[in-house]
Amino acid sequence: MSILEVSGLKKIYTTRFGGNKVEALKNVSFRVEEGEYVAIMGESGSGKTTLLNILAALDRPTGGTVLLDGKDLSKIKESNISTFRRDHLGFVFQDFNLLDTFSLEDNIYLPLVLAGKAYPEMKQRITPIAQQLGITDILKKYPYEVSGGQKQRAAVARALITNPRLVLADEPTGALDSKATDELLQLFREINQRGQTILMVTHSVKAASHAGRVLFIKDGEVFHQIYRGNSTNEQLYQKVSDTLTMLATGGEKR
Amino acid sequence: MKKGFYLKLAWTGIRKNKKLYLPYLLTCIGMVMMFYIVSFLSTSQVLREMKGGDTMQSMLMLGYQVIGVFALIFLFYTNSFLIRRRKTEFGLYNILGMGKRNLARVLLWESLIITVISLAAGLLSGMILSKFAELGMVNILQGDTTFSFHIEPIAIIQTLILFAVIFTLILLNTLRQIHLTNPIQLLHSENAGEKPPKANWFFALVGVFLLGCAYYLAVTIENPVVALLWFFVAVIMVIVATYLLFISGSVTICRMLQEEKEVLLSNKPFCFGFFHGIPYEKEWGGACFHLHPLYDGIGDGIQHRVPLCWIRRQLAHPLSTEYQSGHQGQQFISPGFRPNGYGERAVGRNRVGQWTATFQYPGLPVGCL
Repeated sequence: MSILEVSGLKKIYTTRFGGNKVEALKNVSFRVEEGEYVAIMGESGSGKTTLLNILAALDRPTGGTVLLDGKDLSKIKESNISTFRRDHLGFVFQDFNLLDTFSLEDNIYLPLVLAGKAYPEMKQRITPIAQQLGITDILKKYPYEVSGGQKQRAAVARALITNPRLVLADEPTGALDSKATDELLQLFREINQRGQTILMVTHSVKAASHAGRVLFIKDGEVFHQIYRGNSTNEQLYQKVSDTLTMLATGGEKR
Repeated sequence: MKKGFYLKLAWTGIRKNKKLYLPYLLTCIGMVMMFYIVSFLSTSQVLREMKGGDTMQSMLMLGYQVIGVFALIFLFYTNSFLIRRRKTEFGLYNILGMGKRNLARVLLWESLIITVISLAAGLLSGMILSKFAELGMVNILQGDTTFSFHIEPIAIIQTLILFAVIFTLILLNTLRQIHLTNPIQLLHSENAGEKPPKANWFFALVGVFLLGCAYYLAVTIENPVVALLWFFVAVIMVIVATYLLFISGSVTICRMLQEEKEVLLSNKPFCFGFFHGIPYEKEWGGACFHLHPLYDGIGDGIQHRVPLCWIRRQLAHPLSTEYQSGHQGQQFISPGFRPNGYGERAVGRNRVGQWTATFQYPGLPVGCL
């Protein structure tokens, strides 16, 4: 059973006065198996963020189903959905979304604090993760005191600390410089090799070229899919780049 | 969840956001104190026994109702600033797994803590200062002074009831706001631009009308007994009328100034009155006219927010060279200001091209440079 199964997903936004309907997602179907590292690519306006919001149970689709570990997200009650999100998903945002009033350590503890866990357990969980991500020295610092790369690593730690089934990343490298981007992508690879399933939405070809599979979304539909196979990063980069060119110039669907 | 968990979370929330909560607490304490003193004066036995004391007290009895209304409005206003800042935090809590019901419980505890602190401190300081107020009143009535100190239980009860009601209403309003928005909106509420205020002619007319009525009443009523009845109606009408006129008038003036390109790009601030926070934040107060185009460090954290000014893009696209050169020559006012490179992104990102300005201590008068 795949970790994530999306079939026939549809999302239509209506403006307040019932005027224009915007069809953000038309008919999206794909599967994510355990341990995969999937990148979803598309231009702005293709529905990537909508898709991510629906996968994160932050938004309800107009049609179609999303099954996470076999559980239908739309069947979960409103009151339980936050708990479900906390226990099964981890989030990495483009703009980090760290609280400035808490230290990095407290920020990372936040999901566990919200779950009511005890402090010794939290301490025990954070130590290996912080070491893996290389942020042990800066844990006591505040978000405004550290660089973007460090902040994003803290955000990744926050996503990982609950041992989620799936990590959802929304343009994680969007606000980082190239060196920090490389470090973060390398980290994602390492985390994935340890068995964590990662789903990343991006429009950076570089970020996508580190993934195991790349899905392309255009006009609310899955347009194309590339498996990494045995390609190196550079070869995958080339393939992704070619597909994007085709997307942009309007080639035929393969 | 563990017992006492919500209380701890609420207390941590308040402690960590000290900079936001301290002004709010001081405001609350001030209001409680003020109300207690007036209530005390109107129910004090000592004053009643003096000559003219009882008439004074019956006037004050009407008067303190007005103060009660004012306290309600003012506390709602200051609270709205607080909540606006914390909305991002709440959105994040929701996304990271705290359900809305749990969030509501944390807010309830927070509200209780604030209520208890402000009532306790307010009543205490009110009682201490009530003696001075009493002496002042005795001086006005030219009666005999005593050095006794006493507390009016009725006044305490009135204060407690009023502020319990006010804080409950504030809490309900906050809960309503949280309930109605979804987590993504909450998360982005910090960056969301505000809708441009419309010069509302309707409000202006209503304001003028009310003002006219109030002054008409004040002038035409001769009979003092009738005057007493209508006086406070007139006072409330004037309050509402002034507020309406101010919000619609200020928007109009601001727009007129923006049309003048010189003022738009000039270095000189044009400011008067109080800084009431973000200019679109004009629900309860006045607008700001400070037309310095500067950007704040979005994402920099509350510590680095500085009182800045607000400008609306109307004449030039913010990324055009004309506009840029206009603002690059500006002097940054505050030494603590630290542009973090997000400036251009913020400008480009803004929907209407507004440069939002934020203010750290809303409601306090700030001198403009």
